[in-house]
Amino acid sequence: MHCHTSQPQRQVSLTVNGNPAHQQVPAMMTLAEFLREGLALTGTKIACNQAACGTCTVVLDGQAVLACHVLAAQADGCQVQTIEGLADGDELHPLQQAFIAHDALQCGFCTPGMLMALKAALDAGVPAEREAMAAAISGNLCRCGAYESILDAACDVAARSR
Amino acid sequence: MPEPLPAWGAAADLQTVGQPVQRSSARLKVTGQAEFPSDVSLPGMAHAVLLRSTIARGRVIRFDPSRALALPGVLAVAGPLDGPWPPYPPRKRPSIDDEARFVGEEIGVVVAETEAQAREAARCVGIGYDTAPACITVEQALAPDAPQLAEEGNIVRGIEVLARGDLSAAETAAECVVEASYSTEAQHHNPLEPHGCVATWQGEQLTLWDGNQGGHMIREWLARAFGLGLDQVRVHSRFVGGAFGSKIILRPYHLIAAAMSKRLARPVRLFMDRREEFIASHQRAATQRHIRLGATRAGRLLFIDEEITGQAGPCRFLAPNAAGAANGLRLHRCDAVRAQIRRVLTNTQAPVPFRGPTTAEDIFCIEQAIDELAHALAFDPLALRMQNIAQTDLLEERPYAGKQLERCYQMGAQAFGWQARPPGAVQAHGKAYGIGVGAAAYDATLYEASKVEIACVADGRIQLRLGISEIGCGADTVFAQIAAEALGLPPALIDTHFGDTASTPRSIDATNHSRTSAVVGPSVRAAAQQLKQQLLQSAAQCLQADAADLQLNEQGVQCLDGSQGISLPELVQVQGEMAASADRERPPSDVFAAMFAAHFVEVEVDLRSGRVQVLRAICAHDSGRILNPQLARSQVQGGFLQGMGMALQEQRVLDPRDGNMLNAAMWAYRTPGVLDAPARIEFIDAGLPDGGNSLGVKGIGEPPLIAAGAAIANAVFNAIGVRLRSYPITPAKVLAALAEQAA
Repeated sequence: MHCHTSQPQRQVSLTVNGNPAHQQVPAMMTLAEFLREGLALTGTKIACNQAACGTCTVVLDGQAVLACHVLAAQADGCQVQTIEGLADGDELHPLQQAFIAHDALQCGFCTPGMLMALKAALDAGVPAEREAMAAAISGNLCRCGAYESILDAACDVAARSR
Repeated sequence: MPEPLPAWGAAADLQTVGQPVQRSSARLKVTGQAEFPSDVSLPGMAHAVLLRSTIARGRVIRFDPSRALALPGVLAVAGPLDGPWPPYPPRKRPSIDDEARFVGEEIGVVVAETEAQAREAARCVGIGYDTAPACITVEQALAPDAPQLAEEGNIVRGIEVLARGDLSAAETAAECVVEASYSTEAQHHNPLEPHGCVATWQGEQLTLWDGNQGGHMIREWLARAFGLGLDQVRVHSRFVGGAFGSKIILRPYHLIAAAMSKRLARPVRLFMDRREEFIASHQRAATQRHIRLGATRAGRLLFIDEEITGQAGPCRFLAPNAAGAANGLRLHRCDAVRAQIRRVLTNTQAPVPFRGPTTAEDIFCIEQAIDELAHALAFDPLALRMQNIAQTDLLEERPYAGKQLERCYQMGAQAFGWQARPPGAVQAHGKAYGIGVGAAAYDATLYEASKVEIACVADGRIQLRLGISEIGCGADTVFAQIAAEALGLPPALIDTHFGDTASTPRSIDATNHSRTSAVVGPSVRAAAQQLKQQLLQSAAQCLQADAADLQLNEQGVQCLDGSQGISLPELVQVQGEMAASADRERPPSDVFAAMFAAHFVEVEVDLRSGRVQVLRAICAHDSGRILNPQLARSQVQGGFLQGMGMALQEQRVLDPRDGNMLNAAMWAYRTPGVLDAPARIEFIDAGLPDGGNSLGVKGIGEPPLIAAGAAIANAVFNAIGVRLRSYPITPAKVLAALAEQAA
């Protein structure tokens, strides 16, 4: 939420969940703010806004990034995937199914970031090991403490997809 | 209050209750569709940012909004004199006031078109203070020449004494006495979704989207503060991004957002940023304890005598959250107890409930003292505990409605392999390994009226309407299970509607004190049972049959002989919607309900870095009947990790000179991450259906945090042979203790 009147503006064109988005944005607007306010994709959450909790994680050109510490302007020309694009229509992504089956969430606020961090790791072909999955979410905090079930869910998916 | 229904005892044949039914909200949460209050955006919405005191004590004597008002997008800047700012009963301080009592207290507000504009403008408001001497620490507040923060002095509400039995006789009889001082640190809830709300008015009708633990109580307090009728206030609180006790009570931000929305005739969004979460959303109190225990040589606990000091912040209203002792005193059988509790006013944020409020601080320390007693007596710590199990509650002087602490010890020890481990430390490669046990008790005494509604609606589905918020425990899921059980229908046919005060009855004031299932659950069962009777009777009319010859199942209402039947959608089409409601059942008066737990942990202490890593935890709980083992496991794992955070790493750093928090950031105040967590936290259900209500349930929310701390501290002692009595047990403290031991 940046001051639109006093800042220079930037034209950005990016692809979000396969859909093109072209907007004029304030230069200092973060990618997280752009997704939530510019595109009304509020599935991406902001918790610390200090790059310290991983809650706002999205996938940018295949990499898990903290959307509170990427400017919307930096994402110009990039492919962004958010939680809204993880399922294929009504067909949930295997990670989403596994999160439900293992009860890998409580309040649900960290869940989109956790899922996107794990998606990037799985797509990058990290080994189907608990340590590798833990490393993938080592920057994502869950205050409710669902880590064990999150790792159970991730290992379950990784094992089945290999 | 209605009489309880026949109890679901241990032998009850239950189909849905007790099953690991999937969390109802899970699909919405994994797809990003769950709408949290911070996601709400209304047309024309303006953004508010609070101005907060930068001094610990004093008065605002200059408030100059002119520079801020000149900035683009700024709609309003208001300070202490721009009121009236409603206080909320029973508090006296207006929600914005010129008196500042801690760094972070609300002294003004800026509203702008965007949050960034509001934050920018907030930096430009000219504020001058008349600074008064402050007490930041308890030691400062208790010094002879300390500034007096209240007329009654800095020890607020007097010295509370809890005492039972003949202490001097027990002291005389004691053959072994241990005595030591302990402390716990302030703990911040740090929910991922910050505190905040969106407020809007239509005429004299106020609507809030708010992250809270119970919308009905927030509505009642808002109505009182603004002089409105209850029907003029509507609070939406459906999904909440973490709360842990911090989102129970009305806060100044609720009132300020609503007041500014009214003034500007626009919706106003007001959410804290992460720094504000740390300096102004309040926390668990820091406490200190001096504990003396006496026992016979044979290991019979004779007395507990303790002096407790809690940091109460600046106000009397929230001071009871600063310290308590009751649950620690009832944990073990004991001849005589005395606890003297001092709650000391300071110019710091007041404490608010945090998962196991006052009890976690208490039992983290008492359970270390019990371990010290076992060591002094050369007893196995588990054996000493097993030998001192109370059957009657010492403080309430009533038998327990159910107590399976012994099963917690036995089943936990069995799963952990407690007997297989040699006592004393194991060292290898610069690391020391140790095991520890810690127990917990938690009273289940809060009862209140609880209304619920249930209806069979047009599509033949069952709608359960509950006045609760869902803060992550899965309350909506277990209530659907209870309704399904009472109706004899699968839980998938039941939709739970909650989180909106306008369309739900008041089921509970707030989800707290591990009691939502025990308070609301019996009402759900009773209402569902009534609805079932209505469905059977109206089907009997339609089918011209005797209701006693009918049964309700997935297909609808069927004759027992299979001759005919009617589906629920058809039944509703003919008879209209059917609804039932129920109140909370009358609790039994002759017993006392309490939850119990025993945790067993193994730790690894790195002797070079001082870092403590919990390797595994076995968490055995007596929570009465477990309604859903999967959700219970999640509660236990999460509670254990928050207790582990409090025991090992979470530490508020306040500058003792000016009261500024020096680590008010997520990266500087570290809560446990995945790499800090043990590989396995195993939940053992050691409970049996309890006598406190007809469902046999107690609670599982808070005991897992309460039991975790001392188990970890005792394992650290077992590993390194030095007692660390000041939480959190940080690497620096471990290294200092090891150095002292070596000297």
